[in-house]
Amino acid sequence: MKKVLITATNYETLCSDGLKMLRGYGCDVVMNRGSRMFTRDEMLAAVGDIDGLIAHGETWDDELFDNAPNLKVIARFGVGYDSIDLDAAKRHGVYVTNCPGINSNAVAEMTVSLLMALIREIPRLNKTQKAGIWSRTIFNELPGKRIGVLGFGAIAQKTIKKLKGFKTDILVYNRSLKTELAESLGARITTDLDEVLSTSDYILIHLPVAPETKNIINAESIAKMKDGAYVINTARAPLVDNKAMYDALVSGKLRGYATDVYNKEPADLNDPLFSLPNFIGTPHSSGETYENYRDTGLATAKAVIDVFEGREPWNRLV
Amino acid sequence: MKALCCLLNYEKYCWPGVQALREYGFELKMNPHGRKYTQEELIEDIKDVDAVVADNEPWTEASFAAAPKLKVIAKVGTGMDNFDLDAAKRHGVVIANCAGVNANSVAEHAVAHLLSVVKKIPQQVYAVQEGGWPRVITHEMAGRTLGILGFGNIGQAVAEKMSGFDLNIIAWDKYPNAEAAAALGVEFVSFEEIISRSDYMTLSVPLFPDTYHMINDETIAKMKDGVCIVNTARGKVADEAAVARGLASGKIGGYGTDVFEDEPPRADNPLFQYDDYCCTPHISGDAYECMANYGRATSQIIIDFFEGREPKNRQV
Repeated sequence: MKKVLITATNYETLCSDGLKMLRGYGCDVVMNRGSRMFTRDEMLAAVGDIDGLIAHGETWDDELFDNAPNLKVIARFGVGYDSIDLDAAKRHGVYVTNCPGINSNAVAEMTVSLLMALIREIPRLNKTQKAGIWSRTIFNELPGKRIGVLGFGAIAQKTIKKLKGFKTDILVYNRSLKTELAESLGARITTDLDEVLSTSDYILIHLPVAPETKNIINAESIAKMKDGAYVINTARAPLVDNKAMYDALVSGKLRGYATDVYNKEPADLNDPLFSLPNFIGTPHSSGETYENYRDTGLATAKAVIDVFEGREPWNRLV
Repeated sequence: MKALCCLLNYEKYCWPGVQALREYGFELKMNPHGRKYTQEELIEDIKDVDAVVADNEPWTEASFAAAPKLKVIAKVGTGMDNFDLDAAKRHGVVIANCAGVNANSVAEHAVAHLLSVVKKIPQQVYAVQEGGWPRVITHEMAGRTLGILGFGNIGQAVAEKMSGFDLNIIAWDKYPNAEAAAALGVEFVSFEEIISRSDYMTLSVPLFPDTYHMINDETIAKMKDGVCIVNTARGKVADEAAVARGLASGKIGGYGTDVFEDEPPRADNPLFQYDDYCCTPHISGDAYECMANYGRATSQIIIDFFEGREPKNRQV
């Protein structure tokens, strides 16, 4: 009987289809029933006799692989795999897979939700109204305004599709021009980042983190933006220089910033952004949907079983 | 000629209207109260006016009786529930509204409320602000059903904005506009059906006797468990006490509103205790673009009237 460890949280409650698949195959399934990642010690204690792993973000290095001699496959529950040393996995003959794209609809819905909640000041107005204050403010309407989308992966594409009824002008920045795809979504695409920064009223960040994208939103790029622009980040925290963002929100250069991601999670409340009324942040929850858990649960279960069966698993990294 | 502008900030945000009316020769008086006119204040200020740009102040028999020179009212917004229309008729006052002008702004606000309650945005923002890091799990909207109650300008604009979300969009209206529905891929259904089939509901009906408390204990009981409801219409379209019971039992998963049965609402409104109740202060139409267009539309109504032309959107 194959033993499968699941360190991803909520698998039992939210991934019942995946769990059924694993048990139907005859796996002995051991689950993380807590709400946090396993510590190193917990990992060392748990991996001695496992054949497969459905992984959270635990660090996998040579030492841990040495302690898991039966391990054949790690299916990463989600997308990011920076915690897994792929070379070490290769040396130990372990397959590693991940699940790109499954969360894209969830994240796209969250992106538009944060955009609308930010520009209509929903969290702030709800709080003041419940405190008995009949507060007045004034908005801008979206038709005719430009939405700049940085990046053109699955999430950006789905976000653009969701915005199609908002009568905005959508301009995409991407390193490669996927002109036909952009046009089919009613958007224009350019490799000129400055054009997108300097002409957009709303900027949505959907880039991966790479040396050339780190702090892509910084004092210099913010200076190029339109006065009163809004920025939404549902991608990764290192894309934005928070100090520069804070200064721009205080000076009024930017009108609002919404993020789902932080350099440290849980978020560090000492970050001065939290003192600003025109900043809103959600707890890296854009992928936290029942549908994403269900589909990722199934995809990871299938990847593990495929490796056990000698089949090539979906989205193999090594 | 004299005109009273009851809407706050008419001069600041509806400037095209101020410009047009002054150019036409009107002497304008602005609302000095920093809030909606009361009946008494209104009566005091309309004694010698020929025209009014109205907001939501009470236009009763007493109001009309106090304004012997009044000939035309241009109502900012669409809802006519603050007017005694029979009294207006008796006093020979023509009233026209700005139907459609606020549709985009209100629809954007409805969508902002809908997305906020479905994704629990305020709850998550407050949790993070307070040092929490909850795992809030929500449903994706794709594949679910949005029901739009009231398919006029605003309801249609909501349907258009949500057209990219892969929803099934259904609508109910007393006077269904089949052409508009077909163009937007929306299916008209019966009132019973929209109540029972919708995962999300937006309200954009006018307040009439037959829409008063349209959302009540009985209709809520027939809804899907966890339904999310957004009201950008009128507070009295929903029975707030019934909504509170629905939120308390969990039958209603989220309620986003821009309107209240009494405005401003009392600070001890029992709804305020529910985290899944989200409210804004009747502000859905307060957009720069919308206000400028209100200025254009209201001044046009008044000028058209004095030029002997039939004003657009005449109600009486």
